[in-house]
Amino acid sequence: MPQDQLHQIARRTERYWFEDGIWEIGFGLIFALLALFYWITSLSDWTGPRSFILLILQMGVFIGALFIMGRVVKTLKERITYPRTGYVAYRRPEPRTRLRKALVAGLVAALIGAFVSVISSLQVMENRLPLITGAILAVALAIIGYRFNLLRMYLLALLCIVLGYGLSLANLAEPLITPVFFGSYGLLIFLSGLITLLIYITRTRPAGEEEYPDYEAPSAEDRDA
Amino acid sequence: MSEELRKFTDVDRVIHEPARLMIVTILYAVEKVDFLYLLHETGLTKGNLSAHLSKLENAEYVEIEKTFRGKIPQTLISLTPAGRTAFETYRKQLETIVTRLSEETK
Repeated sequence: MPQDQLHQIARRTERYWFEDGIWEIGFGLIFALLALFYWITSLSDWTGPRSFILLILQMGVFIGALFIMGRVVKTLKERITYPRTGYVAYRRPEPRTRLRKALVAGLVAALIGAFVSVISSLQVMENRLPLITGAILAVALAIIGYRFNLLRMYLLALLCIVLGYGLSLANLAEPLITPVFFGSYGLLIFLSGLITLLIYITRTRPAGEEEYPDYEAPSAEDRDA
Repeated sequence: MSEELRKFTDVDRVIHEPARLMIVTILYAVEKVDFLYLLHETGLTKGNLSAHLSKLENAEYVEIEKTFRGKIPQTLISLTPAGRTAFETYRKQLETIVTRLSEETK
């Protein structure tokens, strides 16, 4: 078997995580939670020293949303995916790598918060925020699409740019722009996941208890054959 | 027998079989999978897959763990450290053979 075929088999196994669309459903929920957070915080004044508290709160909400997403994804996979096409446990990174990833996630959350704050304060750039952030999101989705050979990620990336452009043209002002921005992207990604999940459910069916295929050690005769 | 041809006979016969090579390649990319996943991915029949897993288990390349998911029996399969090493060695051997043959045919 050629090396590239082996590589494709390994890549296909890695891609299995995205096959059911549940990851996108979870990601969409994160954006929805962030939209809710920004809408709630928009009802108060967070200027001055309180803006630092807002930044900390945002990091906490982002990390909390990641945790909730993890739980939702795990539950949906156990109920829907594993009984249909099987269970895969991916290799966990080393503890040092996990810590590094957690720190990077926290840093990214802080940078996003700072970026949103800075852009929002620049009235000239305010209208461009959805387009710029949509482009960044599109790049991230395209990278996932390339890494795991997922065509729908490229389509989603394109839709993010279109949505970003549309939101920029809508010329919304604070306090609406940030919640609408996160809510729109969240809905887009959530719908992508939902459609993928419905297609997956249509194409597969769970093995019932009686017919569930399981390993049976071959008899001595079969082993020697 | 030429040196290069002799190298073909030196590869690990347990892994070299196409179905088992596919199984080991899948297991190398993950921590563990269940029997149902391997059934879907390899396209083998239940009996055929069980036979190949048994061979790999006898060679101590895979570990088979029988457990339950609710009331449903579930078999989890993972590659042992020996299995990972064997697969890595096999890949290097294959790469060397293919590279040498490519150079000789130029």
